[in-house]
Amino acid sequence: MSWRKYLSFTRVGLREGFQYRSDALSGIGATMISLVLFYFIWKAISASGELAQPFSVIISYVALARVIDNATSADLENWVGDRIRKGTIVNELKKPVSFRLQLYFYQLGKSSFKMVVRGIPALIVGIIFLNVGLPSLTGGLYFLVSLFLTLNLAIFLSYTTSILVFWTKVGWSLRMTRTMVAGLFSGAMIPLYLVPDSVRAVFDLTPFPSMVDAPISIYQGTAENVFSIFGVQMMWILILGVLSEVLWRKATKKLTVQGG
Amino acid sequence: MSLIKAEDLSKTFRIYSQGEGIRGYLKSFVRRDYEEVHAVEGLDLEISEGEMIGYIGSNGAGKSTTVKMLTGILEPSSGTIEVDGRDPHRHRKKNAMNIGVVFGQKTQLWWDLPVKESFKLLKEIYEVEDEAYEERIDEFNEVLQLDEFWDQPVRKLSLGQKMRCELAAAFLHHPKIVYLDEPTIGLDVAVKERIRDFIRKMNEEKDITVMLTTHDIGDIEDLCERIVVLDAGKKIYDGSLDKLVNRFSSRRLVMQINRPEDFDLDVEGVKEVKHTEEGLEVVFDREVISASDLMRIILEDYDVQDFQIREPDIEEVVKKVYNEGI
Repeated sequence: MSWRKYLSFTRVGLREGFQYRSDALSGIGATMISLVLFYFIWKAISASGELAQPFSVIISYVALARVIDNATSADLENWVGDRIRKGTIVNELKKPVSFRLQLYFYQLGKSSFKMVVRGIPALIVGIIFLNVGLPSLTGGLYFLVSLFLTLNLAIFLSYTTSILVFWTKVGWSLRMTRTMVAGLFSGAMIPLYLVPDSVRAVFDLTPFPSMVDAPISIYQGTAENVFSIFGVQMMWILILGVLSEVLWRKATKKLTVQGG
Repeated sequence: MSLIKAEDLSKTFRIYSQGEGIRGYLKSFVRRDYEEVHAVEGLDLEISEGEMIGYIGSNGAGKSTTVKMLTGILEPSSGTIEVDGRDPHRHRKKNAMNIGVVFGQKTQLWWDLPVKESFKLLKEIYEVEDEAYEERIDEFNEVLQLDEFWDQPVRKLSLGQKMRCELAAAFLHHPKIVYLDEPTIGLDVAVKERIRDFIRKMNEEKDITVMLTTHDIGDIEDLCERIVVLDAGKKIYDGSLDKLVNRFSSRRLVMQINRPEDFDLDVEGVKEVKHTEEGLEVVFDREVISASDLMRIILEDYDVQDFQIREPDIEEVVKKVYNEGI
C-alpha cells in the first residue's frame, strides 16, 4: 500500500477545514458556548447537594469531556449520505484506492483540523477557568496516545454507521443516533462515575466508555492501568474494523447508484 | 485483441413503486411492492485498442449502467466482463489505474478547494511522476486552457470550466481507456468544440481508447466512426455511423417549380412527394436512382426555378431509431 496516496487525502481534509475562516471561527464559538452551557447546567445540578462529588471535581470532568468530544469528532455519515443520494459516490469508487482507507485518511485530516481549532481552545479555557488542571508529564503523554486512539475509535464508529447509509440512503438520522448514543454512554454528557454500577456494567459492553471516560481518567491520573485502557481501546478499534468490513462487503452488492 | 470484452451482460435493479396520495405513501411506507427493472439485458460488446466508439440511446436506455459495470463500480447481475484481461469489479483498484472516467453530471473535483489541489491529489493517487505531470499539464493547457482558473476554488467555476477540468483529470495518468459519460452536456458550442478537439487529440496521439456516451449528435459525427445503439437495455445496432444513416434516411430534393399543384411523378426510387413551405420535396433512395437521373426526368416535364439536394439528417435518423427501433 502506498501511504503517500492516502496521506494526500489527509492533506485535502485538512485543507478543506482551513478553507473557510468564518466556519473555523464559529466552530471555536460553538465550543465555548457549549462549555458555558455545561458549566451552568452542572452548577445547577450540584446546587441540589445530592451529588457525591463537589462541583469543582465534576466541572473538571465535564470540561475535559468537552475537550475530548470536540477534538475527536467525525462525520462520515453525512459525507457518504450526500454522495449516495446524489450518486456522486461513483467518483470515489472509480479511483484506484480503497474506499475505507480513503475515508479514514480524509477524516483524519478533517479531525486534525477540529482538534486544532476546537479541542485546543477548549483545553486552554478548561485549564484556566474550569479546574481542569495540568497532568503529569507521563500522564500528559499517555493522554495524547489515548486521545489518538479515541480519534480512531470515533472515525471507525462513524465509518461503520456510514456504511449503513447504503441501505437507509440518508445519513443525517444515523449520525444523530450515533452521536446521541455515544454522548450518553461515553461520558461526554454525564460523568460516568455518577452512573450506578449496574448500569455502568452495561455501558462497559460498548466501545463508548473507552472514547471519553477512559482518556479523562488518564489525564486526571485516576486510571489504574493505563496500558489495559490502551488495550481495550485497540480491541474496540479492531472489532469495529471487522464489523465495518463485513458491512462493506454486503453494501457493495447493494449499491445501485442513483440517477443517470 | 479486444481491450474490452463483455458477454451476455445484464443488470437488474429492484425498485419499489410509491403509492399515490397520502394513503398510498403510508401504504408504501409500511409495505413495499418491489418491481424488477432490467437496466441492461444480454449485452455483448467488444472494443479494440485505440478505438473511439459512441454509445448512444435514449434516456434510461442503460448507457450509464453499462459504463458503471465496465468501470467496476457495479457488479453485473449476470454475464462476464473483461477489461484488459481483468474482471473490473473483482479487481476494481487495479482496473482503476488503467482507466479514466468522466461522469458528466457528477464532478469529481473537490468543491471547496482550488483546481490545482484536486490535480495534486490525482497526481498522487494515480502515481504520476513529477516530470510527466508538469509536461501533461502544459499540454492540457494548450487545448483546455486550465491556467485561466488554476488557483480558483472549483465552486466558483462555470460549467464549461469545470468540464474542461474533468476532462483533463480523466486523461492525466494516460490511462488505456477513458469512459466519458455525457461529457458535453449543457455546454456552449465553443467549449464543446474545444473538448472534442481534446478528446480527438488524446485518442490519436496517445492511442487512448475512448468510449463516449452522449445525446449530442455533433459529438458522434465529429468523433466516432463506430457507434453502438442501446434501447431498453438491449443493443440494437453496432456498426459504422454511415451505414446506420444510409439505412434510415433518404436524400431529399427540394425545389421550386411553376404550378406545383400539378406535379405528378411516378419513378422507381422515389418514396414520397411532399408540399412544404420551402417548396416541393421529393424523397428518394439513392441506391435505386441517382440525383442526376432524377433531376433529368423532372426537368423534362416541369419548369424548375431552383433546386437543392439535402443530405440525410443524422439527428432525424437517431430520433427515428429511438422512436421506432431498428
